[in-house]
Amino acid sequence: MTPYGFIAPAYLLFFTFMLGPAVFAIIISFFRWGGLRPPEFIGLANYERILGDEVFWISVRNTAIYSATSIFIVVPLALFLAVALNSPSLRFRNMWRAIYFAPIVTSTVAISQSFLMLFSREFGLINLTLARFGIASIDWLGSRTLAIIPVIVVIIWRWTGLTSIYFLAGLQGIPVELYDAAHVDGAGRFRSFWSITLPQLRPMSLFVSVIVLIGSLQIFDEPQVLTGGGPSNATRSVVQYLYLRGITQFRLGYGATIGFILFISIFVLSLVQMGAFRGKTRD
Amino acid sequence: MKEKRVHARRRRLLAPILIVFTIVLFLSACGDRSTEVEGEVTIRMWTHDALYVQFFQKRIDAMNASNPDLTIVLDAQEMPDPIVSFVSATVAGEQLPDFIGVEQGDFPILMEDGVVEDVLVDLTDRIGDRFSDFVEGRWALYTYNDRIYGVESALSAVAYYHQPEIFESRGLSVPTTWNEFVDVGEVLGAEGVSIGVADNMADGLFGMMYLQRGGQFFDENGELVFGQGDNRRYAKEVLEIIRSLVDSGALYIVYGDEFWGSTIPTAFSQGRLAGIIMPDWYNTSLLQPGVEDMAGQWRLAPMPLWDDPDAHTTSVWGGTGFAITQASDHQDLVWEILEDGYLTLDGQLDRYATIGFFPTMYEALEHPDVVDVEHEFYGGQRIGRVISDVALDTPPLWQSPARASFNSALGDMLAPFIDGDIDAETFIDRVVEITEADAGL
Repeated sequence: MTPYGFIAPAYLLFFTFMLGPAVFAIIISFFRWGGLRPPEFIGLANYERILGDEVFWISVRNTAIYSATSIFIVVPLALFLAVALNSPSLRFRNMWRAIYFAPIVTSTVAISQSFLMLFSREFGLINLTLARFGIASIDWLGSRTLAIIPVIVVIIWRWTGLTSIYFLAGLQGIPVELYDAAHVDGAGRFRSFWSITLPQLRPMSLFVSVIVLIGSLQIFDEPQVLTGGGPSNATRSVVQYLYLRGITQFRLGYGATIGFILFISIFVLSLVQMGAFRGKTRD
Repeated sequence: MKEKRVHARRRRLLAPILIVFTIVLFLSACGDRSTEVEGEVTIRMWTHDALYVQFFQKRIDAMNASNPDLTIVLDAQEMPDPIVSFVSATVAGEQLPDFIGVEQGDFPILMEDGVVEDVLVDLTDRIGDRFSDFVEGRWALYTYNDRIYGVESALSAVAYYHQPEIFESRGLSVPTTWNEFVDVGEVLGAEGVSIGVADNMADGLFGMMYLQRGGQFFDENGELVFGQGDNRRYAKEVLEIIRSLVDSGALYIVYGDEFWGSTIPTAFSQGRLAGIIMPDWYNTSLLQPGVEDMAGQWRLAPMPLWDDPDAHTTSVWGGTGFAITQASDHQDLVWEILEDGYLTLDGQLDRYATIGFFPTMYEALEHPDVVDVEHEFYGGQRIGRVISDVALDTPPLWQSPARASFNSALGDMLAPFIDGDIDAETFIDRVVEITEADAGL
């Protein structure tokens, strides 16, 4: 019984705060419910509406862009940083590591204020710099085309450091003897990176990419504090849309429908990603 | 015999006692009802604006001073969305406030399925005949099924806040009609100065112009009428004006949150923005705190007029009503506080003097404390006169449970319209289409 006693709290919390609410959300996705009156069963109406809900699909597109940014920019950049931080010739290594970790411990409000000041049309540092070169002021946050750029910049700035710490842990687990042997065999830095570092980091890469994918599909803070999802939903993520519908407008059934679809998407994409990595490992 | 005499004497004694008791009861009923509660009573209030805390605290301090038997302690909490928090707290069974500031745009959340009847106190009978003492449109914001659940804090009538120097230095007059607004805006726009502001995410300028033109989003029963009959024509006329202003560079376009931040004050102080069309509450909530160092350089003009006598002379935007929650254990006492601050002439005048929100009571609208006050920030102008002159023509704004969807759709379509990606017809059709598709969710 002792092992069950040890794992019980974790499972209790999981059932209470994860599985229970998830099942409840699935159930209420078939209802129309404002929270205060009894729910009204409407069958698949929420799902039918969501298929034709233009804003939902815009938010899916935006979230896909945020996820692609995370996977194809944040992860490689983090790996590059980790390799640099792991270099024996790097001085003040701990200071650099602390600096790269800083964004993750900085409050979202402070981040938003900093980046709002950076991208502000009127007094933003970027526009002031551009003005010195005679370039007209750009409405970074008010333009439907450009507003997604500041959000992407914040995502990269905020998450690259933490991701690099994961990779750094992986790099430090690679035996030094492998590099020594490669060096004796005449392998250069690039060859060592390609033939030793990357294969050895595969388990960590799988972990990082799954974590990053899940996190990016649930992105909320960055677009919320910078643009509120606007203008005209140009930066709205799926979770922001869930929040708008479910919490702000109290359409709990519809919000739950969005949440359920998001859950399925994350589950399926994570499985695909893990499958792809396993396939490569077997190769 | 002796027994009968005793009974008769008792009756003789009992009669005066009963009369005295009845008189005492009657007098106590006529007096200050707060004397019914004694000792220290904590009243919890939720609001999004610190100015309301300031005002109610002042009134409560005065009530406490006039009644030594009762001490009301105001426990005020400021939060961004009191109604969202209120519904969440109700669902969760958490402690609720005694009274709450309902931002008018949030009231429709409570209209959904008639929830308001379960959570807020019906104030209709308490208001009684005094209903007609106030600008009628301000009751409409908190009305559901002909019952009133909130008392509005400001007239929210719209006018044109502007810097006269920008016009005078160019030999221009402050526009009095929308056609003039477009023409003067074009001249200013050519010099890199905007005549007004539009938000590309909310119903601000569009909504104010549309209501002034005579349009309504919903009818008195909460049914969507936007896009139907004259409302379609009004919406197109407003969008055409906005289109002209955008094309000539006369409008300063800001995105959502930028509207409430330092962007607009910065543009004012740099002389790149001549003015802004906004309601009365803009004065103390945003303008004066934002450009304190520009005192004396501002004036208030009436909203530009439409070339149609049936159109209104002003418009309306925003507002916050205070409502009593059914969860309150002190509903009568809270009503006394609300009545004292919002339904008396003294309260209305004090509110204007303390936090600058324009009275909603007819008697207060013509009071010297409102119309004769010279405001230093406006170079000594009597801005109360400007608002009072149009106050009676303030249009109503009918509410609907569908308003959240409607506002969301309107906000979503504004940016594409301002960018020139959709025309007025598409704008209107899309807003209607999205609002109708959301019905029943």
